[in-house]
Amino acid sequence: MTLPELALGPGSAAPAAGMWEIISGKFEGVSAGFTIRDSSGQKYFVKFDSEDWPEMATSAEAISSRIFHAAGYNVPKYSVISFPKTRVYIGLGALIKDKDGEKRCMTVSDLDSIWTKIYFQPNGEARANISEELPGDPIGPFGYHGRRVDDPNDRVMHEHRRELRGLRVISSWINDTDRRPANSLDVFLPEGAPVGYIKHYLMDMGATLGSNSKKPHLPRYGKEYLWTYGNVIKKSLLLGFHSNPWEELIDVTYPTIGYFESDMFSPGTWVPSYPNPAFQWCTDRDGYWGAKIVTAFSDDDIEAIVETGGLTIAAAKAELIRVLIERRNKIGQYWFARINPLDKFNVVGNTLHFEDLAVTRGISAAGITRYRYRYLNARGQPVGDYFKTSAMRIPINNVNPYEGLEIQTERGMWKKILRVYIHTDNAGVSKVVRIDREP
Amino acid sequence: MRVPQLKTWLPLLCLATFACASGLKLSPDVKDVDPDQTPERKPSSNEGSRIWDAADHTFFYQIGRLVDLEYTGKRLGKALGIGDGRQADNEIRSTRSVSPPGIPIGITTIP
Repeated sequence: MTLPELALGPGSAAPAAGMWEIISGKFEGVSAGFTIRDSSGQKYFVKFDSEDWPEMATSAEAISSRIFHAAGYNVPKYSVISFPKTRVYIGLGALIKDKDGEKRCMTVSDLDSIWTKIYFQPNGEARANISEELPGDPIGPFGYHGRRVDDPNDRVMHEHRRELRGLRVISSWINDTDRRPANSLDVFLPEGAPVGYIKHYLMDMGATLGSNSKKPHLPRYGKEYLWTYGNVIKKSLLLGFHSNPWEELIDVTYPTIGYFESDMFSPGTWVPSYPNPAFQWCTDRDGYWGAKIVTAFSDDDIEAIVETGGLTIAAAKAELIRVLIERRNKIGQYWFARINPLDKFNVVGNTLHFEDLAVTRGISAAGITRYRYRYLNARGQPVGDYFKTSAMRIPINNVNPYEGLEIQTERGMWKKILRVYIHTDNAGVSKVVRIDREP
Repeated sequence: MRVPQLKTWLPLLCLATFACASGLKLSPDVKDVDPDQTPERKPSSNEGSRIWDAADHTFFYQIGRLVDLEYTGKRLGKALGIGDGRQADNEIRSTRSVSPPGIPIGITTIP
């Protein structure tokens, strides 16, 4: 993707000019907001920053939604906007939930109450994150285990879906601690009425990066579940004398980005606030899949995406970029050490070319990296001695219809084995037909 | 428990544990076809609940997982170094049609 494509994401949410009618209050989530309809009839969801944490939640949602979109997930269109209070009016029949959870008609004092809780820019305009209503019919969230039994297309148990298991790595990168069913949505798209298909969306990224929507993330978010059996037992037995480093009080340097750090970040032990079944099933291969996506974001890509958050303090923006880069590199170091990160295999003539993602993506230095390989017989067993090289290419024979190679990578010590199988057809054209990665 | 009973159950328990831990097939083959967008009729709508999500994922699913022999066995097998974790079903492109009988068939991952 180009930098403009990354920054655009799924598109901008841009209401039409003119007045906006408030058609509903906000019934889900903790941040203040409401639903509007613009002069063209399009519906939008509006969420605000809390007064004490300006720009934090709105920028996090804009940035993280673009990261998920670039990673291949479906997300709504999110944009950071600002508007004067006078641009909205309460529509007839607009409902709001009162303190007892009962729905009633929204009043002017309800709207005034929202205005008192939110952040206004120095020019007097309310800063908000706005998302466009998704096309199609919403039919509820998707789960992270089991499957939707009334969806014939839903054939794979969700906890065994690669894109949901590997999502753990992408979520760990942006500290997406609230990734659970309530923050997802299935939408039925009637392609040819009455039939169609379901599109699955990730929603609500206000609790990502340093933001926990109304307040910053606490240091423990991402380090342990809100309820951890082991921790409860340990603390009980030790009468509370044991404490973890992330239980210390913290100072937030930049309120606009909240609490987001890379020093204590551990890609292998990162967890969301509540256990996510698909994340718990994540294997090294799933982690490698996710790490390939995360490390594909270059420094420039990250900068272009962060720019869409509308952060006004340059130092805060620079800090956010720095932390994202450091967390990305940590993810590469961790997962690329668990699975041999040789990839993009391609046969040209009598040579097998590949990329060592750890090297090409700047995680490890080429100077300290070597590869050794040996050939496999028709039964997949190694024959002969190892050959060593520091180049990302290996000669092949093209004699037998099937050829196999076993490759290891050394960065200090020889690590995980990777096997590549090549098929050469009758016309002499060779292609890679199978790759086995030792977990 | 009496010794004769133990002699019966212990080997069975060891066999079951080894079978699960070593990744012997107790479940169907991995699924490598995911149509995803085949036209279908509109499914019914379901309401989500944040409270239920938290309770389900924190307690009920965890308890269910403990008694899931596949999960517990494979975790044990991985810890003992005799097996591997349960791999994902989709995102696996089968190349079995071109694999000769000589090449062992396992999980095939073409990224």
